[in-house]
Amino acid sequence: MMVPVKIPLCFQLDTRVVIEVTGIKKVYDRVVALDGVTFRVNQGEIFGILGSNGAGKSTLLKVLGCIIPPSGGDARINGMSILKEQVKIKSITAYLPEVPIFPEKLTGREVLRMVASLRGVDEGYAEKSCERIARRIELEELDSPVETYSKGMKQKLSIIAAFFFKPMVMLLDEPTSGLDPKYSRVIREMITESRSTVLVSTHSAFLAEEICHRVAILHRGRIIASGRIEELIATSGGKTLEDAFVSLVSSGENKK
Amino acid sequence: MNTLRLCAYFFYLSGRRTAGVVRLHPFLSIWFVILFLGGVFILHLGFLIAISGAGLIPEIKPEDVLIILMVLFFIKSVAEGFHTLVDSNGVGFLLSQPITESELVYARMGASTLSHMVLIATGSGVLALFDSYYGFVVLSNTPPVAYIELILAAPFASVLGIGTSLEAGASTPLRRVRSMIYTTPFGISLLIVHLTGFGYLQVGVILFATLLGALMLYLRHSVIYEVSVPQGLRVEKTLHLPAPFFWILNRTQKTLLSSAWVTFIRGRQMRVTLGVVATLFIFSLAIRFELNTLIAYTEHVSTLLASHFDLLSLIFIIYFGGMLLAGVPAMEGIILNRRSMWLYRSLPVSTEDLLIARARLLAPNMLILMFGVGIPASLIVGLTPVETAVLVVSSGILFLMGVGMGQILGGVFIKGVEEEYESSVLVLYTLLMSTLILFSALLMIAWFFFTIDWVLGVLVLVLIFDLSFLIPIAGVRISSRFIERFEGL
Repeated sequence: MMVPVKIPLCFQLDTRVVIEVTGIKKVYDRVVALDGVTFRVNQGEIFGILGSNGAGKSTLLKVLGCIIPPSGGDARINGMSILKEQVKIKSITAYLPEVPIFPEKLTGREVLRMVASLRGVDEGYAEKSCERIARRIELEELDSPVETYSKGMKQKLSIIAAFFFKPMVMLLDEPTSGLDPKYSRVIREMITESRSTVLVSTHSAFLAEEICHRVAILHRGRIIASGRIEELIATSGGKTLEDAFVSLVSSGENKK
Repeated sequence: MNTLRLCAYFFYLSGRRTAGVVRLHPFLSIWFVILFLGGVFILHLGFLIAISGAGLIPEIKPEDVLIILMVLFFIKSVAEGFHTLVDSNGVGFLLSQPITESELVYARMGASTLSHMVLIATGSGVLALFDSYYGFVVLSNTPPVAYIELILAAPFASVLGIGTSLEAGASTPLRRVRSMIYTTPFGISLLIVHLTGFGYLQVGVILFATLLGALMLYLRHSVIYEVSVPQGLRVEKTLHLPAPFFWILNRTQKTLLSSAWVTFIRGRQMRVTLGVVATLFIFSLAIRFELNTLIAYTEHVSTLLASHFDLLSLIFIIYFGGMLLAGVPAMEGIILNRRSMWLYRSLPVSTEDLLIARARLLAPNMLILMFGVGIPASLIVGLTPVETAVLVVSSGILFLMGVGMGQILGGVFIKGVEEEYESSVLVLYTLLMSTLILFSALLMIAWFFFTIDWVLGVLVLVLIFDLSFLIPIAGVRISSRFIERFEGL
């Protein structure tokens, strides 16, 4: 049975800050990918990072997931610094990359078993949880090697790996990438049902508008606006988040 | 006609790749040449010191350097032999063209053979040019049969390279076992024949085996399709690492090791291991050619070599085998997982744990090399207990160094290898040579003490063996730092 995805505006959020990002910088060679990014995400909140291609969204998620180190600044996940307590942060965090690549020779089930084991999740629970999610998103080829998977199937596998252990924090980089509208909708439902603190990066204003409580617009490595969706729309004078995004990014370009 | 055109295409491609090494990576190329020449030179020197006894340092002649150059060409041909033939993208692209599989197999084999022969001819030409200065002493005194064996090595390497790459590139355990049945005994039997010395009988056996291999490839050419189109494949059973290897590991390491083991069994590393057979053969042939040329112009060395010829061949084979068995999988393991590294790095596992698990995966190789191969081989050639101890312990040292250097290089070249074919060949060379330099230096120290007293020599060797455990540890530390800084995910 399908559940409505749209988040009611009256949704009550816990005010405890789970993700606290302070002046994060990331420089690749001479290219500045992130330039002093600062924001906070409360417990249970779905926070969207909306940005055009190359804005620094994926880099931000990688930094917060302790996949790559920042060049400056700090962030705290559930009170733990990404500079000092990477392994502890990873144990409560699920990271979903934009393009998931798995060990090709393992089957999907073997990949999930490995992930469960490394996370210290009970084997029986992990098996059941993975099966349940796999049924929901209709990934039937868990016993086939990953090398035989299509792009969408790999995306589904990475979604199972991110959701099965009910993480406290989820960092989702374009979670519906490569999925058709049917499964894209299922994933949006799963995110809203999860009760985790979710940081989701996307270039789709539609996705952000549908599932996020608050959104930050990232442009050229800087947050140029953030707040509740209706606030952003009102500020820009447009009708939709897409209008607001285009207007804010254009004004950002003009200022530059 | 298609076969010839394709052969020309592959040959051209091979030339472009070789040229690409120089064009794309001038710094790495120079580094590689220095490492390689330096490594072989030190080995050569250490080898002469060892066989001359009593610390006698022989005069180093220009020919030595040229022979080293020859060995360089051999290794290049070996790398070509089992590395370029698994370009599945190239095969996939060609399968969409109006070409039969037979044409493809023959063309690849032809181009590979041609490529080897060009390299060997170039090496021989350079050698002849400089040898002419001494009145062709070296080349004219080398038995003609050695040249014939050398020339036959080219098609042999092609057949074995293609055979292993096609079969081991397949994705089911059954096919992998079949690849071992086809290629491993084939290669090992040739090694044994080769160990018995240069001779027309050996040449005949190599020729026969090459033709047999070509015939087998013809029968199995349809495998190309199976490799290229693996859709619908299902793996029913998971292959787990045998329990005895688990007692020293914690939970994280066990898990990582299990997945690494399954990847090893199903993946490219198995093919690399099989390819080692071809590598060993060509490399030992190169060493033998070197010995022959040495015999030709150094009377003193000649006498010593004549009595230890088989022993030295065996030792070299075990040494280089150890180096490749240890270093290449350690290196490949990291490189192979670079794309899926996000998965490991998003999990609560330290990079060191990951690398330690991979290094420990190679422990069975070390045990097999030291005790399964080293001791029986020593008994066969009639070594004394001291010589056996030296051989076994040296194998262990080399193995540990191979693992350490493999880890370091796997980390250092983490990005370059993914993007450039040329880089992976260079990494392989660098692995071989850097390990060789370190190993030669350590072995020379031990030999020095052997010249004073054999008990002291053994003690020093055992000490070096113990200290060699530090090399994989250092390798893991260094590599983990590189991997943690790697940002091309």
